[in-house]
Amino acid sequence: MEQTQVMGQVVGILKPFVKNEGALAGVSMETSILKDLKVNSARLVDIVLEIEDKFGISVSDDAADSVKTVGDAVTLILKSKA
Amino acid sequence: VTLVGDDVVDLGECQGRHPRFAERVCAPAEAERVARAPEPELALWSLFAAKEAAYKVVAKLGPRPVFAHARFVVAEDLSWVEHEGRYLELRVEAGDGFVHAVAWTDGPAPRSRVERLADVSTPGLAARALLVKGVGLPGATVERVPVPGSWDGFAPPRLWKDGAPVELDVSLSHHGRFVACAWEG
Repeated sequence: MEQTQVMGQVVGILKPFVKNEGALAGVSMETSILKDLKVNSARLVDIVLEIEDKFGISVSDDAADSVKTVGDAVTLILKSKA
Repeated sequence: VTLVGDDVVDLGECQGRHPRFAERVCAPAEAERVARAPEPELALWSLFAAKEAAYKVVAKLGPRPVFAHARFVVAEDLSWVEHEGRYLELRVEAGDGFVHAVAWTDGPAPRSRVERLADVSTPGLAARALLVKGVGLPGATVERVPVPGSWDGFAPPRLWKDGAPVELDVSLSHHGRFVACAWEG
């Protein structure tokens, strides 16, 4: 699985949780899910659960806590699928 | 010093959760309580707000804990939260469309405010204004210093007045149509 492919899928997961879709226009690996996309902590739980479902992986609490940016989520998925 | 954390939840913003949301954020006994509660949604979000408020206190005590909601265990009567053997005092208030939780270390119960927003475009500023008004320090400002590695990238809020920090622990929160704050009693 390639990084760009995973990133596209992650952005697709994030989309329903981001009220300002304009914020997703310039999304990059460095984009902060909390600060830049203004996703709150409850929605971040939903996002982690959606990632588990979409990629068929289990995300531990410690791993979930490390997800701050889009890139963090992509890296987590790639490592889990390796 | 009494350390304070708070969290407000707009109950109107809580629809459409993932089916495993409660399972993820609750300890097993809490999930059972939610399932048998007369108002499961209110029970769930009371727990969630309590855990978020407690996280803020534990993070202030340091080192920053893993933000895993299920590791913050809330008493059935909502009077305390336990995290890795440490107990915090807790108060949960349910109002018209919101739940507000305040957690604190030993000491006098904190004071707190919740306000419904007329304009939801700048909730952070509204929460700051509510706190300054609540503590009765006109002209005070609230600052959050960037801290890489913290959960949301910033240090807890701090009150400043006349160029000096105010020795009063405070907490801010906002969600949907509501802003809230709490400070040492």
